Amino acid sequence: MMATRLTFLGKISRPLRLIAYAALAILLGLIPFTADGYWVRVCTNFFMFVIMVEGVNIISGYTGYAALGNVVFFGIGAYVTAILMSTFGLDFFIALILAGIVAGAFAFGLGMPILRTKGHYFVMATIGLNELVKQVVSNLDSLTGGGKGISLPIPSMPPRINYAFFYFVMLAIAIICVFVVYRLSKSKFGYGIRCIKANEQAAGVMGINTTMYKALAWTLSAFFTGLAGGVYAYWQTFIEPPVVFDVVFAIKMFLMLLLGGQGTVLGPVIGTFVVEFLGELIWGHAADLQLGILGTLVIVVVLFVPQGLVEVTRNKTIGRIFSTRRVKEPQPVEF
Amino acid sequence: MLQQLVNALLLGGIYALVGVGFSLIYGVMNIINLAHGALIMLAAYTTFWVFQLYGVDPFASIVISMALFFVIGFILQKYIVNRVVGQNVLMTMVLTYGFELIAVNFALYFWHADYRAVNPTYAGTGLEIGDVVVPYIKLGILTVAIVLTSLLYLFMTRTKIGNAIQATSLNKDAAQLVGIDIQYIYSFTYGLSAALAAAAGTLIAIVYTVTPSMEGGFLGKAFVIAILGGLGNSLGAIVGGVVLALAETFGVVVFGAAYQQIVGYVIFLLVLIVRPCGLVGRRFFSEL
Amino acid sequence: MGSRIRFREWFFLLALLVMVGLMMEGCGLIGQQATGAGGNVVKIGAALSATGALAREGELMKRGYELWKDTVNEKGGIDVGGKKYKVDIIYYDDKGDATTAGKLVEKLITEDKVDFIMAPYSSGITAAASAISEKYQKIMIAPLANADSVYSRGFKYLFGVLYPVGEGFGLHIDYLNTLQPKVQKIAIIYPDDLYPTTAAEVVKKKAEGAGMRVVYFQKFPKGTQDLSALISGVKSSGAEALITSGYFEDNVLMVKTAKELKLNVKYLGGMGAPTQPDFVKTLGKNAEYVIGMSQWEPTSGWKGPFFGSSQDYNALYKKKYNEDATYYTAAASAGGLALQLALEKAGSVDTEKVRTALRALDVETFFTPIKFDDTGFNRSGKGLIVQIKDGKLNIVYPEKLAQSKGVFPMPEWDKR
Repeated sequence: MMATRLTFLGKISRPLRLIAYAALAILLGLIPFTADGYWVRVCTNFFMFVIMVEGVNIISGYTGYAALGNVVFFGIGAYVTAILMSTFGLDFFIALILAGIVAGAFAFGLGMPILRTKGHYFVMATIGLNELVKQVVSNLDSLTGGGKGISLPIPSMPPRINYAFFYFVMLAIAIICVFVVYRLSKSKFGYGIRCIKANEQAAGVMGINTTMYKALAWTLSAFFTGLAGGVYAYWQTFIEPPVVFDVVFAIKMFLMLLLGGQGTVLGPVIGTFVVEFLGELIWGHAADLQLGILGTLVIVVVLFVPQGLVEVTRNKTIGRIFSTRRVKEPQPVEF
Repeated sequence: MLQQLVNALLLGGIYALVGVGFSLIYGVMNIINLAHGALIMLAAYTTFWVFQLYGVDPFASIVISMALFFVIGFILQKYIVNRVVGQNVLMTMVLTYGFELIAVNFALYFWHADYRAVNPTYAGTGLEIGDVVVPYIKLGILTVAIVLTSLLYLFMTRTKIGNAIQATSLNKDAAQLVGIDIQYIYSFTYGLSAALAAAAGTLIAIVYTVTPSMEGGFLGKAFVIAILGGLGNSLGAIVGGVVLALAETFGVVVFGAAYQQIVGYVIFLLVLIVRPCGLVGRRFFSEL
Repeated sequence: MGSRIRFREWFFLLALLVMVGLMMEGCGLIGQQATGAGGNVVKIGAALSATGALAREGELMKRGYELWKDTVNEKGGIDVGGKKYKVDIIYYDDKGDATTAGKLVEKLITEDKVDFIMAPYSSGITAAASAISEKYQKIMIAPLANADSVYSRGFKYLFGVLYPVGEGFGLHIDYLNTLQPKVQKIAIIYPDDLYPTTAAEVVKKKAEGAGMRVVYFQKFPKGTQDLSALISGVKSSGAEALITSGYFEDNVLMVKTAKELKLNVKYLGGMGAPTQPDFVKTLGKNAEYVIGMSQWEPTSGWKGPFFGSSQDYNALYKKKYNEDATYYTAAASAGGLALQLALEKAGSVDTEKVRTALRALDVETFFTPIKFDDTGFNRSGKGLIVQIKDGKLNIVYPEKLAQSKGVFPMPEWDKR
């Protein structure tokens, strides 16, 4: 296995690269003050999906456990934030952190039994878990409002500032998330979970505590997904179970992951970008056929770019456009 | 109470029909076929139109729709799914999701979101034994479910192609070595599964309202039934269907209707963790 | 392998092109719209379900908006301070999803720069969408969202045309009270969703207040596919009346299952579903005697400016769509009409002036009287109880508007 570090401006010198990063930062910083509110919302949505897809990437792309039902942590994060803010009157950021922690703890606790299942059984188990939690939340009327949903306090900022706030919160979490995944990919822990993906038994033999590694990977994944859910709840100010535990959300996350490239740092970002912005374009112009077009896109992706767009850049011709650098990494030992 | 038991058994028949095709594809090819619900929906529409335009009874037109959907399934697998089969389970799953989106869009585009239903004259009539009512339609569906799953079982165990399908699902490479055309077997299996989905859709059209968005709920049930019954296990689908129906029905009686699905999913998760080969199943290729 | 890689290259280039295109659009380089350059256009935005579970209701609403728009434009437009304004409505598909609806409302406000917003179908989605319009201080008219919780949030720019869910659904109890022999035991079943839950809770309280006993009160998961367990439960509870506050498919399933399991109640009631034309089409003869609650029928007997009487409105609708109008459509048109009347009165398209005019509105229309209270909720309407007879809707309550006496108790399934 070889991982590709994608640097858009590969061979240029370090100062120039820093300037490029600074330019990107300024661009991202300016969007909420120059673009339409609608595009700010689209971008915020994009960051949100980046967080969730990177979350899935940790457990699925790196560890090899396809947690299709990962959206359950999104829902948990959203509900914890909502309940803490509206019922207990907590400050948003405190509620948000707690939401991430609860989601992570939930993943850790359930990870032990559920991560015992393998392959597609795990896929099914996570879907079942999501449905189960959704139903439980719908029935805890006194705490969650049940099927009636729950309203959050409405932030008292003027719209522009308000949405810029959510834009930056999402952006910040997305950046942290991508950075964590980047560090992860080079850490001992990262090699460990990749080893599990390649051959779990072998990893165990080599002395990796596979159960603990898997559970921790899922915890991390759930933590970020929960954060995204928490911000989402405050951003929308009204949530209900079918919306935040939506399986279609989950499938969309995997589409983005596959399109971008599993087990890569930037794959999820690219995949999310294409799907989100392409989606906007499609339903702006062909509302009648939006589902069909998305469906066709899905089929084309699976048939023709199964390794994801990041892989495509390795290809010689196109690779030159981006200039990729290959980093050799230790190969998982095969027995 | 007796009535509730009858309700559960009859519902189990519908569930079994919904689950059996899904389970087959899953067991043989390791594909989580997200298009299964969409196939059921399209078959329900086929039944609706055949009934509306030509007055053909659903219990008769089931043959037509099964044949039609066998061909559709065969072609889908042969020209599209076969290109990626055997890869990562996610790939094929997302691929079938693409089918589902297209199918739903198709139905919405041509038939809009109108609610439709098939109403044969015998709809709502039933057999009364003491206090217990047994609706004819649901009894008919249960019968069809039993007949179809038994036929499938016989087909898998007694015919050459059935044996080939089983062999392929147990060990693809070995099957290839003994001269089985894997691609053909896969196409045939998908066709079979689509035909079973069509049977389910045809009969569901009499019981439920037909709309483009009806597919989601049945897909969820198919997941649970397939796991409970054991993947690829045709008789297991009956068991899975009945167990789920019993759990849901008695969930309503004991805990209240709001907890109906919770009971189902708890059993689902427990089975997955404790006994992933299903309640009656043995280990299939996919666990290896 | 070679050809495959080439394909990928093409695909990738295509994706790049699309991205560039998107960015250009994002920056407004292509597809720029003339934003009200003529000046004499009232631009309205509406996010409605064209796909998803609420697609049918979305379509019925859209017809209402369109009928209003076309009628206004045929007559030359709305008279605002002496100038004639034409109406233009931009639609988007919210897919029956609250998040999407919120996103679209923001798109309508910030990108399409609409002047006013018409709300989506259902209380849940409207609750989410109105949070956005409120932020931007844009007026949102909500024709089909009447759960009290939508209006109890202190919003200033949200106006609900339909009168409260509880009062409407509670009519079942008022009607039951007039019937002899008196019904003592009733059963209520409802799906787990904002609007049905609110309705079921209100009607339960009301029934108990009227001295009835609610012997079966059950919430079932939204989108359930089987009600036999519940119907059997109703049967053994000995309820004489069964009502549901569920959506269309729940209503249909309830009637089908009741017949199948020979549940012979005296009164089988639903919410709006029985008033939809699809209900009789779907259930055929089994729809007979089912009772529904309507906010409006062609025979409602209201009249007012612009559309004339309820009958006139229906005639207009029938000419275009070849079937009788339902309250879904009428409410949507009434929403448009309320805005129109406020615009005329305000003599300006300025949001604040129109808002003041809406607040002060007190008028009878073809739909119902419209007078918004402090929360923006129109509480002055009156609902109707209708019963299906010979495949048609008959108003049976209130007596003043009743076309015929209701059939009560409804005949047992075997004796029809």
